[in-house]
Amino acid sequence: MIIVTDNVIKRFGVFPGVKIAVVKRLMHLPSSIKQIFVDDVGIASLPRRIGASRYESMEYSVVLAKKYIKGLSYGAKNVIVIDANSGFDLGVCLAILEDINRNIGSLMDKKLGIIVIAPSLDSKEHVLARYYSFLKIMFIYDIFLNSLNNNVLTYTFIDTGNPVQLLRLISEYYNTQEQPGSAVLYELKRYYLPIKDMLVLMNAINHRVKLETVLLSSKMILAVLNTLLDKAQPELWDYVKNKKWAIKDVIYKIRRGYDKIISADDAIVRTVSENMERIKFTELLVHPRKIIELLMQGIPQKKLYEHLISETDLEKIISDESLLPITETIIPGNENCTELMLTSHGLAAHLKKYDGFTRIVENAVLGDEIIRLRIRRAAICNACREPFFSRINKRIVNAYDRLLGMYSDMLFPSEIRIGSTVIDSEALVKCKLINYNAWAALGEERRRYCPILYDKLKEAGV
Amino acid sequence: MSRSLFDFKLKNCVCQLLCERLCCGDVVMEVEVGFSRMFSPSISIVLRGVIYTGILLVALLLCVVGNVYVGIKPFLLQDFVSSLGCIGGLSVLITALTLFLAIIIPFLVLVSRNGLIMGYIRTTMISAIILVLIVLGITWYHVYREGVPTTQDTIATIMLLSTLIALVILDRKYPYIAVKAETARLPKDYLAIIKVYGDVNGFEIHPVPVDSFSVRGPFKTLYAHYYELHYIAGKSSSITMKYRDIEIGRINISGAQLPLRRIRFKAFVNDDDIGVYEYTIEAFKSLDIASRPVVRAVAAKIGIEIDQIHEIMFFDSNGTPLDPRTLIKELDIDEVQVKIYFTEPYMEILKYYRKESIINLWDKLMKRLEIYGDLVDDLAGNLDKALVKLISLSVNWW
Repeated sequence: MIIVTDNVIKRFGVFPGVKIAVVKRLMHLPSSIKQIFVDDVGIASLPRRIGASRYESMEYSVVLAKKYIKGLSYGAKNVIVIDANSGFDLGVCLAILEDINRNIGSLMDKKLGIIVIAPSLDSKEHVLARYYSFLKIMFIYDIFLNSLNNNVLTYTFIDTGNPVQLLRLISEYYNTQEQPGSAVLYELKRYYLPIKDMLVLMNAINHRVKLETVLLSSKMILAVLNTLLDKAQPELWDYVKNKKWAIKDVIYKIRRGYDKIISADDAIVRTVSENMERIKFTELLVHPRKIIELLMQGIPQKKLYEHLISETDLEKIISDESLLPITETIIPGNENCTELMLTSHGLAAHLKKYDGFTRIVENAVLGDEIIRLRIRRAAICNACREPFFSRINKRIVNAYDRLLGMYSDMLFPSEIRIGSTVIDSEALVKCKLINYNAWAALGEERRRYCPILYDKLKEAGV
Repeated sequence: MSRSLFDFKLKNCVCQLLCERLCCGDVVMEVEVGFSRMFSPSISIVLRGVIYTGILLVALLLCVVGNVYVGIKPFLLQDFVSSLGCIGGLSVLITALTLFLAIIIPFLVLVSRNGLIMGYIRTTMISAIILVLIVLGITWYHVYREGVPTTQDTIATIMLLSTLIALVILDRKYPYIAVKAETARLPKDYLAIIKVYGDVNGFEIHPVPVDSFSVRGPFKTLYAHYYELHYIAGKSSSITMKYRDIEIGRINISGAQLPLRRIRFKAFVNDDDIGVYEYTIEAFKSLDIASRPVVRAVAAKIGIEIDQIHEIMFFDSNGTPLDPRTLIKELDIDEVQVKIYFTEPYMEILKYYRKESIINLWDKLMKRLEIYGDLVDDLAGNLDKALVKLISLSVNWW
């Protein structure tokens, strides 16, 4: 089950698999999606900040969202996609985490994945600072929930500028895989075989040519009719007079056909050129011309892979090191990483003949593509001095430090609960940013680096 | 009256043979002829012929008498023949026959290709090369029989080889061609004659602008070939002559005033009257060249390509056919009918329905047209579907 929030839908639209949308304002969405409408009724106890939306405040968003989230029913696997640029989205996420925390007894076997769309590094300062404080709170829940039951809570980060298809791929991957793993940095590259695209393109061009020939023939007949009328006796004129409408109809059709040809040319050129420009994660395995040549030779589509993919290509895929990271906000340390190949069913059957492809995940994608995915299970800790831990980008930390004294209600809710223990905002400020992997790796050193968090977690029974 | 105007920088050497200023009525026309001196008949034929004949004689002497100046032991052709086993009169006969063949066979081959004079000059050089080769061969035959080559043998071989190489280079580098232009008849008939001695295969004439001259020929005479150049259009023009990409001469003409005539062309396309076109045309043009603007104008007017035209015919106003090669100045009429014929694509369909009544024909054609209209609808729908698919597939590129 995929839950999305307000800003994600605004930015990326609806993608398949979305079940619930938490929105600020009612939207025109497909009827299969259930909308939870968080109505801004106003909360008297919280003063309104002048010159800023109330949803910018973390405290306000959390308090408001909590009231509407209460009755949410969870599936066995849940994925929440939130946009960290918006305070409302972060508030909803924290409200859901708090909801799970409250009903921990009944929700123990449910799994929750959080996909955070990270703000770009040149966003406004308060966005970056709020993102940092949100990470702090999420990591506290991460330590708490995962200590009780491993892999209950998992999360990953995607940069704002990435294409929507990447978001779809990752959320689909989270929704279907058994153990996607927590605190993950992804790097990926996609090797694409545009067989289907070329088939459709050839089909379109074929229809266009056929249409043109038919139009030419009908124009020719019109010309013959014209000459006949020129040279005929008056009786023909009398005969024809009653059947004018038939000719007018055909002329109208011919004119429309020519309009269609022009628009088709335009569309073909535009789609082809735009597609070539937009490409970022994808690399074409073969030149489209080769695919067209093979299709013209009449080779069936199932056997195309054997002709198209040579062993040198596969070696190149295995040894390629130029994978692109999907987030910049986290600077990776020295982690162990796993590598996977996501392919469709048909391609996987072909690739299994070769040696190098051991970690193939079948049916992960639909088209003719191989996605090489490198997953780093990162231990994030900004306070620890151990050099092998990953860190959050310096610019985010600086923004947080600068705004901490001025807008504490924008950055933190008044209190959060883990188990039955209450952590108030003062304690939250003093807590260090550390996630479950780092927490587990620190072992006995935990108390030295994060004394307050250690005490609180012990109180909660971890 | 002649005077030099300007020099031509040519590849080898520059000269001006002739520069004439001809008066034709009150119009002044200047004709200027420049040729490379290396290709003029006096040098290329006379001087070269004398020198080459001398070379042939020396080679002949070398073959028959032997080289006495260097003190080489004379290995003569006759000695060689007698050493093979022929004695007395037979050896003399074989020697004479060999020399005869070495000269007469190249002569017969080359004269048929290059004409009499150039063929002879070419033969002298080829025969000299053959004779030197024979002497070289005989020398080395003797050395082979004696066993050890002496110093004199080596010197003789080096001399013969270097002579041979020099002869071959001379033969390959200096083209066997001589060119002479006669422009005496230009003011009267606007005709220039260019005589070419030697092989005409590599000889080219480039008039600028291209249509200003019509080139006829080559016509063959006993000694040479000649071309006729008819000046047909323009006030000034130039002709460049080339032999295997070497520029060998040029004729410049300026201030020419060709006689003109005004002719009315009445144009018909597939027997339909199109209109009347009136042009002023140079009188030396032939009818088919002169009517070119009319044909182009008509083709542009009714929207067909030039290469779709099948046939162009010329008639006078009485309906008598005219030969398209007739010169304009020879015409005794002022109005010419130009009839242009081409096939209209849709006429093909009419062939099948010749015998039908016209209303039946109309119905059949209408039915066909309606079927095509439905086809257009279907195909447009299919095209739309394909385009929607194509656009939806653009999510695959990210």
